[in-house]
Amino acid sequence: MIERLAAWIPTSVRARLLLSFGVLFLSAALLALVGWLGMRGTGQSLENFRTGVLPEVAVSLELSQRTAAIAAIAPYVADSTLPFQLQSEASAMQARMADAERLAASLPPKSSLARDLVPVLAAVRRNVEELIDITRSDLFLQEDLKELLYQLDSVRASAPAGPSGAVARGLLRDVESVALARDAAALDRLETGIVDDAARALRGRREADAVDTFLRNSVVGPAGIFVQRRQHFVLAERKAFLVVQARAQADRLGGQVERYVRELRSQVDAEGLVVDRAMRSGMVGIALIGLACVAAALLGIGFVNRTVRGLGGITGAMSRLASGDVEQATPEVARRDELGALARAFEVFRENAREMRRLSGHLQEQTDLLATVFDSIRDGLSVFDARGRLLAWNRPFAAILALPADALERGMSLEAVQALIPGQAIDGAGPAGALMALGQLNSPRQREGFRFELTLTDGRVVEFLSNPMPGGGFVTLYRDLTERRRVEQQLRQAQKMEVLGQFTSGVAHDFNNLLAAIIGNLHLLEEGGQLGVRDQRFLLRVRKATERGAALTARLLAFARRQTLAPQAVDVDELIEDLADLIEYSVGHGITLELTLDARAQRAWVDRGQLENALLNLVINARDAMPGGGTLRLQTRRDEGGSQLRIDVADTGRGMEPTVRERVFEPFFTTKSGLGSGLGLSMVYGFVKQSGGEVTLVSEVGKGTVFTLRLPLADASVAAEEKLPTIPTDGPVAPQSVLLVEDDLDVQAATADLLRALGHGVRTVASASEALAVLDDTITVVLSDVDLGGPMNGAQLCCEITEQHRGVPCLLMSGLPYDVLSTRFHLAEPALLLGKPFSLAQLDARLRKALRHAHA
Amino acid sequence: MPMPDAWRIRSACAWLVALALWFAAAACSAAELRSVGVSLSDMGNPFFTQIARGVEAAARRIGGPTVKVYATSCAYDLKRQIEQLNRFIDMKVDLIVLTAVDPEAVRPVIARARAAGIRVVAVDVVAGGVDVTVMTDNLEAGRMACKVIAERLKGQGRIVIINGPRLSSVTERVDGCLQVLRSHPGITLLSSDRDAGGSTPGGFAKMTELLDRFPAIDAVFAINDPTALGAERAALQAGRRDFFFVSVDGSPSVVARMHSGASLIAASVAQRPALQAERAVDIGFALLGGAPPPANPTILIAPFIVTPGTTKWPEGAWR
Repeated sequence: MIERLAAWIPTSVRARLLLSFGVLFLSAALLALVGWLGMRGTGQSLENFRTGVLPEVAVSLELSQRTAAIAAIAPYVADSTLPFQLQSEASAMQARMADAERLAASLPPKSSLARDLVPVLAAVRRNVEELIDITRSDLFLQEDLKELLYQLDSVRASAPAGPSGAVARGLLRDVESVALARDAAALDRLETGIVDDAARALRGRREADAVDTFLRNSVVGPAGIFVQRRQHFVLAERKAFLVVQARAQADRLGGQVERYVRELRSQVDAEGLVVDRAMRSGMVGIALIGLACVAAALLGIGFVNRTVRGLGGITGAMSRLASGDVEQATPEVARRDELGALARAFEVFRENAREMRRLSGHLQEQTDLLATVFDSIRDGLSVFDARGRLLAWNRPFAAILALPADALERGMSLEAVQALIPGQAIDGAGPAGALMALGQLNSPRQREGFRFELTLTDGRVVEFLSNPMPGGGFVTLYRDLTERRRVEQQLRQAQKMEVLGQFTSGVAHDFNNLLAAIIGNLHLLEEGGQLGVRDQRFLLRVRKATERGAALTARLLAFARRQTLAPQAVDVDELIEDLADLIEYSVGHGITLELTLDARAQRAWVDRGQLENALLNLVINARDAMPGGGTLRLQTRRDEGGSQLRIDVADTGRGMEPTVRERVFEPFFTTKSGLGSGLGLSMVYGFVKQSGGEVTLVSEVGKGTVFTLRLPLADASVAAEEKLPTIPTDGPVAPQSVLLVEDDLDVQAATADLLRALGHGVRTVASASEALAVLDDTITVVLSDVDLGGPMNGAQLCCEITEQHRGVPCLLMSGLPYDVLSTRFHLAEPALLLGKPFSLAQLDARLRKALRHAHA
Repeated sequence: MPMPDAWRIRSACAWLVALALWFAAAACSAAELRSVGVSLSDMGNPFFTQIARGVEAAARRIGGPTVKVYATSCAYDLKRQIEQLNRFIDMKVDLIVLTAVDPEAVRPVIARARAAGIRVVAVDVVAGGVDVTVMTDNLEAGRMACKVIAERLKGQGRIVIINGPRLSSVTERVDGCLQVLRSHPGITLLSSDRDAGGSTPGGFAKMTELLDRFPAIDAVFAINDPTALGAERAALQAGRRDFFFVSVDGSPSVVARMHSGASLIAASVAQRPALQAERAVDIGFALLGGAPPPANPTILIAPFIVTPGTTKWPEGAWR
C-alpha cells in the first residue's frame, strides 16, 4: 500500500512542493470558507442586534427620560410669575418635547413601541402646550391686575382729602384687598359686600368723577377685579391638573418602555441561542479541517526538510568554495532530481573557480609587488592620463614637490597640481641653458620623454623624468637633487683646498731647504767671529728676514696641514680663561667680551699652542668685523653627538656675503686689503682639519658671524697634559764621525759646517747608494735627508742601516712635517726627525737624542 | 461709538438751546392733548410705574385734569404689546409713549400709528420708526458703574456681570462697563453672559449659580436694581460678604437698602424715569403742535451715581 503510494508521488522537487502546497491550500481554503460562513452568521446576528435592538432600547430609554424631564419641568412652568421666567421654562420644555418627538420618529416604524408611543406623545404635547398657554394667560391676568392696582393708586390720589373722600378711600382699600384673596370662597365673601357698597356709592353721586369711573369699570364691570380673580383661580386649577397629568403620562410612557425593553431582551435571547448552535457546528468543522491541515503540513515539512538538507549540503559546499576551499567533494551528485542537477552544475563551477583563483593569485602577487615598489621608492612618482588628470601618486611625490598632502586628489588637472608647486622655471628640457616655464611642456610630455630640473622657491632642486605611457598619459619620476648638488659643491671645495694645500706644501718644502742653507751659513758666519760691527748689523738683518721667512713657511705648512703638531689633552675652558686677558687686550675698547664656558672639564685632544693661536686669529677676525663695536661671545660646550667639543666664536659684526663666505679659508684671501696676510683663517682651517676636527661658519649680512670649531675629545685615560720630555743639556757630546747624506749641495755644505762646528767629523755623500757604499765601522752616526731624489729615500736608507749595522743611529731631516713623512715614507720614529730649517742647538739636541736612543 | 465728554457736554448745551426755541415754536400752535397711551414692559418693576406716573403728571400739566392716560403693561410679551398699541390706535389717542419689547418687531404697528396721526415716543429703550426716543445714556451708566468698581478694587480683582434681557438699554450698560474693564488689565472678568431677566428672582437664581461656580469674587455689576437686590439676597443666603454690588437704576428700594447700613450694594447709577417721561410727553406734544422734529431723534438723559452718602439729588431724580 505504502509502496504503491510512494510510486504515485512524483520524483521532482517542483512537483512534490506543488503537491504539498496544493493540499495545504485546499485545506486552508476550506477552513477559511467554514470560518467565513460562521463569522458571517455571527456578524449578521450582531448587526441585527446593533442596528435593530440596541438603538431601540437606547431610544426608548431616552424617550422615557425626556418625558420624565418634561413632567419635572411642568411645575416650574406652572409656577412662573415673571414673563422671562415663563419664556425660558417654556422654551426648555418645548426643546425637550421636540427631542422626545425626534427620538420617537427615529424608532423603527414597525416596532410595537412606536405604535403605542404616537398617541401618548400627542397627548403629552397637547398637555405641554396647554400648560404654557394657561400659564401665559395667567401671567397676563396678573399684569392686568397690576394695571388695575396702578389705576387704583391714581384714583386714590385723586380722591378728595378729608371726610368727603373717606368713603371712597375705604372702598378703594376694600377693592385692593380683593387682589390678596386666596381662594374663591374668600372672593365670594368680599364680592357681596364690596359690590353692594360700590352700587350704593355710585347711586349717591350725581357727577361721575375718577372714583366713579374706576368703580364702574374695574369693580362691577365685566372686566372687573372679581372677574379677573375668579378667572385666575380657574386657571390655577387647570395648571395643577395639567402638571399632575404630565406626571401621569410620563409614568405611563415609562411603563411602556419597560415592557418593550423586556420584549426585546427575550427576542435577543432567542437569537443568541440560534447563533450559539451555528457556532458550535462551525467549530467542529474547523477542528476537522484543521486536523487535515496539520497532517498535510507535517508531510510537507518532512519533504521540505529532506530537500533542504540536500540543498544545505550543496549550499555548504558553495559557502566553503566562496571562502576559498576548492578541494572538497560535492554532495548529492547522484540524485535524480533538480538537486542532483544543481550539484553537477556546481562541479563545473568549482573547476572554473579553481582556475580563476590561480589566475587571481598570480595577479595579486603582481599588484602587490607593484604597490610595494610604488610606495617604497624614495623618489616621487605620479601618473597623469591622456587628458592630463592625476591618476595615481605616491607619498614622496607630495613631499618632494612641497605640495600640501591633502590638496591632492584623484582627477585633479595637471595645471591645478602645477599651480601648487612653488617654483616654475625649469632647466634641462629646452635648448641648452635656456630656462622654460613648467607648463610649456604639458602637452609635449604626452608624446615624448623629458628630463629636466626644477628649482623650487626654497632652493631645492628637483629632477623630473617624464615618460609617456603606451595607452596615453605619462609617468613622471621626481628626484630631490638638492643633497647631491650640495655634496658636489662640497667636493669641489675640498678638492680646491686639497690642491692649494699640496701646492703650498711643495713651496714650503723648497723654502725650508733654502732657509736651512741660509741659516746654517749665517750661523757659521756668526761663529767665525771675524765680522766687523757693520757686518754684524747686516748679518742681524739677514737673520731676522730669514726667521720671518721660516715663520711664513711654518704657517703655510699649517694650512697645508703639514705642520708638526703635538696634540695633548687640553682643558679648553681653562685655556680660554687664561687667554681672556690677552683676548680683551686684542679686541680693545668698544667690544664686550662674553664667555659662556660649559665644556664641563671635557678636554680636547689638540696642540695647545696652535689652539691658542687659532682662537686669537678668530678673535682678531671678529674684532675687524666690528669696527663700530659690538659683542664678542666665546662659548664652549660638548657637542650634541658627544664625541666632540664645540667652541663658538660669535661676533655681532657686518657678516659676510655668500661669495666671501665660500673663500674665507683660502690662503692669501683677504678682505682687509693690505692689512692682513690672508693666512690667519686658512691656518685655523688647516690646524683644525689636521687635528681631526671641523670648522664651520654661519654668517648673515648685517647680523654677524659665528665660527664653530669642533675638536676631538681627549681619551679620558689621559689624565694630564703630558710635558714634552726636556732635552737634557748635560755636557758636550763626544765627537762623532757623522755620515751626512744630502742631495742639495748647498744644504749639504752648510750642515757639514755646522756639524764640524759642533766638533764632529763629517763625511758627505749625495745619495743613499753612495752612503751604503762608504758606510763602515768608523761612522758612528748617520744624518740623512728624507727626500733624496734617488731610487732609495732617507727612510729606507735608515732601515737598511739599522738592519746591517746595528747600533749606528740614523737621524733623518726634512722640510716636511712628521705626519706627512710617516705616510709618504713609512717613517717609524718621530724622535729621530730633524725639521728643516734647524739651528745649531736643535741639531745638537737631535744628535744627542739619536745617540741616547741608539744606546738605550 | 463712545464720544469724548467735552464733545458730549457741548452738544448737550446746543441741544438745550435748540429745544427751548423749539418749545417756543410749539407753544404758538393751537394743539390739544386729550389722551395718551402708555405701553410698558413690566408693571411689577417700580421703574416703569415711575414712568407711567411721570407721563400722567406731564399730560395733566399740559392738557388739564381731563386728559386720559391709558397705562398698560405687556409683561415683555410682544403679542400683548402689539395688541395694546392697536387698541391705542383704535382709541385714536394723541400720543403713544412705549418701552418696546422688540425694537424691530414693533416697527409696523408704530408706522400704522404714525400714519393715523399719532405721535409715538419711545422711552427707556429704542424702538424702530418712532418720532423720538428719550432714554438714559445707558453706555455712560455702564461706564460709571464699572469705574466705581475699578476704583474701589484699585484696578485688581475678579468681577462678574449679571446680564439681562437683550434690550438696547441692557446691552449698552454692559458695553459701557466692558469699555472701562478693557483699560484695567488687572481686573479679570469671570462671567458676563448670565441673563437674570432684570428681575429680583432672576438675580437671586443667577447669583446662586455664580456663587457656586466661583469661590472668589471681588465685585458684581448688576444691570439693574431688582437684579442687584435679588443677587444680594443670594449672597447673604450663601453667607458671603467678601464682595460688593454696583447696579443701575438708583431706585428708592435700593437707596433704602443702602441706608439700612448692612447692604452689600455699594452704589447704583441712577436713572431719572420721571424726567424721561416728562420729556417724552413734552416733545410728543410739541410735535403734535406742528413743531419740526428735533435734529437728533434720540435724547439721552444723563445718569448720576447714588451711594449711601449721597445727599444732593438732581432735578427729576427718582425719589
